[in-house]
Amino acid sequence: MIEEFEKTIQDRHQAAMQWKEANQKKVFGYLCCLTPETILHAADVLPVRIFGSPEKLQVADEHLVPYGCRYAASCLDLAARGVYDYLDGVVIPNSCDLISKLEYWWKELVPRKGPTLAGVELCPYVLYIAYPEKRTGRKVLDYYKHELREFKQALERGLRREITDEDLSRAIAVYNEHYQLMGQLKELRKRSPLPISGSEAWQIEYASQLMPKEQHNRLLKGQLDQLSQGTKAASGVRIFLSASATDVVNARLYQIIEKAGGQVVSEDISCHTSYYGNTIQTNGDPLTAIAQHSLEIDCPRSTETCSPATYPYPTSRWDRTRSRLEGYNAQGAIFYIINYCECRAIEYPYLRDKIREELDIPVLLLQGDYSLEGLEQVRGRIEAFVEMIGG
Amino acid sequence: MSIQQEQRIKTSKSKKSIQTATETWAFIKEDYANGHKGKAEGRPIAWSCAAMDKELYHCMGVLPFFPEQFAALSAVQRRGGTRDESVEKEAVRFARAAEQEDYASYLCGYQRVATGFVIESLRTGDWHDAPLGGMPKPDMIVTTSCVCDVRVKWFEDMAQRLNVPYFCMDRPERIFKGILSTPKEHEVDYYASQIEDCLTFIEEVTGTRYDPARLNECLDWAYKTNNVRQEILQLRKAVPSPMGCADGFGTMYPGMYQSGTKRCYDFYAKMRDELRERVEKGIGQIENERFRLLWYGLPTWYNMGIFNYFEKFGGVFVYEPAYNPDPWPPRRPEEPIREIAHRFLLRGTGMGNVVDSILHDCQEYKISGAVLSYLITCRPIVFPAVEISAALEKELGIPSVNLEGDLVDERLFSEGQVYTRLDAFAEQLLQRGPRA
Repeated sequence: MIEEFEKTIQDRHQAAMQWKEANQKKVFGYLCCLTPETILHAADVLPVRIFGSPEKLQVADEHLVPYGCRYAASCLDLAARGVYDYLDGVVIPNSCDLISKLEYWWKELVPRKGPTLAGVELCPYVLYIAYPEKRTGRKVLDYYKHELREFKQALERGLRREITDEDLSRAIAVYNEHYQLMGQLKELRKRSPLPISGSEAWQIEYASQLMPKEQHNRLLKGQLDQLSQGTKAASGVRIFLSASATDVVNARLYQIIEKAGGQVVSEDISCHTSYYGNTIQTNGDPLTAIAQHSLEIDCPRSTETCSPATYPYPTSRWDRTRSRLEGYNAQGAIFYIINYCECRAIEYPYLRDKIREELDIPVLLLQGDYSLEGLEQVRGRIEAFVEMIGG
Repeated sequence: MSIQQEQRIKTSKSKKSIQTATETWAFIKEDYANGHKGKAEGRPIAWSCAAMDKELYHCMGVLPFFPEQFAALSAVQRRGGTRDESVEKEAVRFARAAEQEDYASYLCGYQRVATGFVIESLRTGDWHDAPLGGMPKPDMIVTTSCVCDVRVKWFEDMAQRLNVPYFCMDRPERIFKGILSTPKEHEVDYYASQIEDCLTFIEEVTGTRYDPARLNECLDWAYKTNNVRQEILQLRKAVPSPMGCADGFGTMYPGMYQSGTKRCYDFYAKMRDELRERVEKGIGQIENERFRLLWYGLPTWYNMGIFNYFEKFGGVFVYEPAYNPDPWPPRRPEEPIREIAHRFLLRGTGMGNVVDSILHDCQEYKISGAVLSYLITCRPIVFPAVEISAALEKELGIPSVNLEGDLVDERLFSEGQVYTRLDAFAEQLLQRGPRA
């Protein structure tokens, strides 16, 4: 079963193109888990996550300065080289300083003319969503719902079809099943001995962003059935992994940790759909529910509305980090922060101190440049860290 | 990026063209003295940021301090106020303290310096061992999501370290073609709600009730000031250039940090009068102006002398887009909060908006070359640099040069390399001749 996830990851572009051909429907790419995939799904569009590649930049480096996240630059570079030409649209949320600016570069380097009416573009090829910086507060939901309504309307114009509340509810049902199944997988990873290795769990998550959710749900159900029989066990020092959005680089990181004698049991990684701890509400207006659900993501870049008397400053990043460590009996925490990933870099010292002081768990900081070679340079530090914990 | 640990950088002050620019320092010193006095008397202190609507503080009786400005101050001062060049700048000392706590060296210089100041002050218990006695310890921390994510996370991080209440004003990102456009109603609604919530937050911290009449008073001064500053910007278009970027950056403090006060208005009214006289008499920054330059980005605060560098070639820095205000819509005293939201949301925040704006400025100010402050630790400034450079050359035939460094951390500034590059750029501009 794992092989099917692995195959999709390896042939992700081919898989999306085949789906498009077989179903005669549109495929949209998106950046970042803040994108409300459900709206795309409701429009019969296949949403696929845009990932990068650790290959050397070939086009984007003529436009991007070297002092920014190489992962984001790599996503753009692949698009500029035509790798993502099969996409019928691209969705870019305002999820960090660089990702939001990709909206401009994507239009410059991947120019596409959307459908027009009397010379007016009905739906741009690159759709931008102004995701709020604050997750909570009096009018955040109203504002974001308005932004999502505009996004939905642009899609409707571009696709020449209405996206009804029934369409949205149908998509929500599929995604809620996905969140529930992923929740079951997470629960299994709390067990000792571990029924699944960190890298296998990672592949399941990774693939969920590349294949139709219905297909992923079906495969995952089978996988969970097998895992719950408890015939398999993965051993190693239990590690919590916090990392910037990465793909094959992250996959290698899991392998290095496992080879060193560790097992990742929980994580805080930007491209993980497991960010979705809850399901989408099914009573009431579906667009409101989708907006509310999207605002629940504890992205390192987001902040909250505070109250001097009761909640003076945001603590949700620590609260969630704590639950990702405690609930999974993690013995060590590894932070892998891509260079120039500023929000993660700023919050690191605070989280490190909290983990050490309140949980007495050792912490390892790794900084990298989104390259496989860079990971090889830190292999020794990972080995020493795991050995120190494992004794 | 390597940080030169031991090298002492030789930097210089700028030469001022206008008299009013020399009065900024007294303005800043007065604010710090008032802050320390106010703190002792129990007045509320806020730490906040440049893109905040300052009138809110003045109408609520809060004394605001600005870690960004404090970092810039630390970039020019050495410990104890000494001029001994063997003593490192305070910005370097504080940045190093932050880096020792695992704050990455690629993070914003303002962030590292201010965070280092917090770390050092908490460690020693001495909050005054810093330029002008340091920023008084805050009772609240208020930031905005405007310009960059760093400001949000950095201020959140300081609030956690200091255990003080935190508020973030979330400003909707607006991307469209052009430079300015009327915001949508739902964007105004949202930002207005942020202002209301911020006022409620300040009420809770200070116990002072929000008074719309008092806010209108502050806004009256802010609008009068803005009108004067628009006049100044018009005067700065004159040939020869009556004042340069050193003076522009050097005089931004009152408008950026004390908008909404009479003393801020008085400062710029005086400056406007001085500039008007210079323009009427045809007095330029230098006698024989041969080429005019634009400075994109924020300055290298530790080396403001760079703004006079081209004078030996007949070149002058004429205009710097940073910190200069847009014209505002008319006053709406019946809705002061929505008025603030409207004026603040006018400008687009996307890359295209930035590029369009620079192209427009270069035409308005008859620019023949641009120096792009390639701030390697300031993502919002450095990201558009390549596109601006290409657009200037393609659309207007204007060449540009990059100048790598940090805002306040002089360890990232390579003087020899920079000046060699600037010499070559000057030669290039002289060969091209003045812009038609």
